[in-house]
Amino acid sequence: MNKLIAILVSLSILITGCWDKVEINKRIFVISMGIDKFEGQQFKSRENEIFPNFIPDRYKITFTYPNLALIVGDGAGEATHKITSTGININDIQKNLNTHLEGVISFDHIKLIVLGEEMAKDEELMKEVLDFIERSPEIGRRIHLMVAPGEAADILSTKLPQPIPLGLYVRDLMNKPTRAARSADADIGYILRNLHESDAAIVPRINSSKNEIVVAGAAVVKNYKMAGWLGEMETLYLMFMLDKVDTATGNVIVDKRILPILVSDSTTKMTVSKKEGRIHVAFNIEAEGSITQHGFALVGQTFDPKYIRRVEKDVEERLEKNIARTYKIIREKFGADLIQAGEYLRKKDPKVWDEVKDNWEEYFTKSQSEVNVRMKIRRVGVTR
Amino acid sequence: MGFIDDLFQKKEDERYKIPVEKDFKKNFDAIKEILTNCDDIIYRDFNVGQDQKMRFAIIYAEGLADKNLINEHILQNLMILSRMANMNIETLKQKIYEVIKDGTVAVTDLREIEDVNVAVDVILSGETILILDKWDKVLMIATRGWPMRSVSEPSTETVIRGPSEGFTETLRVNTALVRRRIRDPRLKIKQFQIGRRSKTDVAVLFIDEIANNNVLRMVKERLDKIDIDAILESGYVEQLIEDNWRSPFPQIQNTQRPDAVAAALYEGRIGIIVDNTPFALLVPSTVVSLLQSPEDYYERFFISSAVRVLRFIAMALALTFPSLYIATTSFHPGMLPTDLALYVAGTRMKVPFPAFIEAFLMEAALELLREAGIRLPVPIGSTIGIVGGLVLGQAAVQAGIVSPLMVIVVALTAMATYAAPSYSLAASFRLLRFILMALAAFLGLYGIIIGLFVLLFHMCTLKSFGVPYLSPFAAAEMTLGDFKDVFLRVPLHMMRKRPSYLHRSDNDRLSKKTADIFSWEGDRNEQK
Repeated sequence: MNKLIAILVSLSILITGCWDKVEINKRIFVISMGIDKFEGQQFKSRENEIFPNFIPDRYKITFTYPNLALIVGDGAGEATHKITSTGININDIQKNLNTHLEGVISFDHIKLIVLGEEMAKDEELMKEVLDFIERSPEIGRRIHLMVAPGEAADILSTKLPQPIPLGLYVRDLMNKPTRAARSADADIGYILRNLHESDAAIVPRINSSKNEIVVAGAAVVKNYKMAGWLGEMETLYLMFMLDKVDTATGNVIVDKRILPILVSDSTTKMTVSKKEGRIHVAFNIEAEGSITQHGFALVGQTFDPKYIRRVEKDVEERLEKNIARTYKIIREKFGADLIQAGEYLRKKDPKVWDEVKDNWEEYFTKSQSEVNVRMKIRRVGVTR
Repeated sequence: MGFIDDLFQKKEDERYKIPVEKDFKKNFDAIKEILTNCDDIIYRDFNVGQDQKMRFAIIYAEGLADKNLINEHILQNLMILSRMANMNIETLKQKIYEVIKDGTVAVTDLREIEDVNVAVDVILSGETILILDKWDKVLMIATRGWPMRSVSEPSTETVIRGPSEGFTETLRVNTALVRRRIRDPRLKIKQFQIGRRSKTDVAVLFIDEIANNNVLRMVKERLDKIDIDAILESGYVEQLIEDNWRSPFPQIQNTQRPDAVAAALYEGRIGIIVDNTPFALLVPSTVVSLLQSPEDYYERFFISSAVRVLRFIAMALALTFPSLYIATTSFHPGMLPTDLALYVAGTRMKVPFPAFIEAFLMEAALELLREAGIRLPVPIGSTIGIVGGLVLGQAAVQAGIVSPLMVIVVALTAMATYAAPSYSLAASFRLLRFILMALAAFLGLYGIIIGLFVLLFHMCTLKSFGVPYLSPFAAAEMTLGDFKDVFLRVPLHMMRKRPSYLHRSDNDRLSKKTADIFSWEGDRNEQK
């Protein structure tokens, strides 16, 4: 009996568990990955002639992994090493790269996945890539997926002014508390969830010039492929709709004077209802902010509640108009339910959702919007 | 009272009894024969009385008996002062023994002995035997007194606030140190001898009515079962009466502090003091009691509670930190924050060993350093510390044999280990750490969890003198009150009851009156 127990216990220990021991310094931590569509010349090898049923390469993938010596401070050179390869799919390329690299490729610490524009517009490839990301136990849900105009490989070649791996740079850029709302706040978890729930999502846009990275604007993904771009301002107003604004700046003109307004706190309540056969989406936004600049030596004006109220009114009107316009673009141009109105109905008003879910896209395209902004300027600075 | 009398009743001496006879010479020779070739025994025979006709002898062990006391209060009285006795010689002759016993020998403790074997035993304990002519008894005179270490600060369990008295090697001094803290007639000190040859004095201390009778019986029964030639240290007793010798955990607490013993007695626990060692034993012990320091109760409760929490964290670190390092670096680097993971990978780039070997080497080096530091004389000990700690550590890191992070892990673990108030518990944690490290090297975090589970199972089954080792976590009946003194130490006025797991009859520590002073109501009354 004891023998049996001993065997059972040791079996249960020995045939389970983590037998994938690889020392941390023998791993290659991919920090950022660029995925492009590969349409170039297929490499004709002798083997392809022997095996004529070969599948052509479809992806070009760029990995960057950090130069560890530089991180601990005794090394020189680039912050990251870069390696590019083509293949049928990501797993294929990973296996392929094992013949190049001395370490074991690990996605445990991947921070950034950049999709090339062409790649993002290909529905089939996009579905494969999204599934790869979702299925992988190594890739976390809080990392960033972005779309680059042009080639993703070019983004990964950017030489940043500091010797920081690009993925970490973008992570810090996206996670700072005063992140500008012009870049879409969407990590992989959010994107995947939106795609599952409403077939549409926004993916931040990443752009690079010679040694600069800009994350602003967004790509609209609908039906698992990229449908088009949203500009920086459009993205900003979309973020207002989604209640994802940490800080935003805007300018108003009051008495022919241009005033910059810093919106520092904003909450949005979205309500969706069905009125007279149409979907009605209402955004109630309550925002707080401050005047960061006024005219020099204009004493007293910023202490006048009536004047402040006028400024607030101007902000409210501008925001209301611009948000409504953005809504129209989303509705008419893309027909993409980026604001998750359908999901709102499904959760809050299932009866209505049952009526409209079969023709939801049509309903959404014809939906009405109503924006109410209440702006409160709390701070006017240290001078009168 | 009957229970204690029954429990501690004198056993019959199983040895062959050699009765004391009336013949002075026979008695003298009988003792001399047993103690033959014992050159430290001093025999002194002399004549007493005005006519010098009475033959007396004293026998004592040199070095154990107080020579001054023998000279001034026994020999002087018997040999010189007795001659001046102005007594009727006839009555004196009839009552000579009573006179000597009650009127001549000016020593506090006297006893008549009828067995030569017993007489030899008391000589070897440092008493003096007085043999009188034509009397069928010999007289034991209490003359114990040998050079001893004075009461000094204990070398372990030092506290900042609290008495700096520690036990010494003399049992009687130790019991006195405890008695000074408990002036209660219910503090019982029952003493007997263990060891066929060493005949070491062992005292069992407990407070009647507070101590649990079952535990007391268990202690006595287990002590009775010990039949060994010698007891040299309380560790002998500990190992012979502990519940489970296979367990890595100490099931009996040892302490050098009389205040710790007194506190334990007030809680209803039982103290065992062994002669010739400054370490007293306390039973029953729980893992919580091993993680407490007497100072916890002397400082105000904020500090004590914070220290308690810190101590629990330290224990977790001491047990698992190196194994967590191995598991995360070798199996689950994804669990580290990215920046840390990259840094660790960078520092380990040139390290030629896998993390397990690296950790094992460093931990072994630390154990070596510790062991060497203890054994060496103090001046050289510090050199070892410098060479081992600074030079070796620095050189190992610079040479790239170990990563700097590993050095930090090892150092932190060492500090955490010695934050345990109980050296025995810390030692068992050190041992278990290596097992967990091996498991981590095999199976990663999964292995650590398996190891900890096995450890927890074991601790759940462990008992110390009938009390669950994990009390109050794993007691048969959960009592919330016991948690007042585990992770936190609540203010004293809230600890009205003694810990419940010992099931004693008298449970009140603090009277309600005192506790009420601290309630708001009491406060308000005072203001009026």
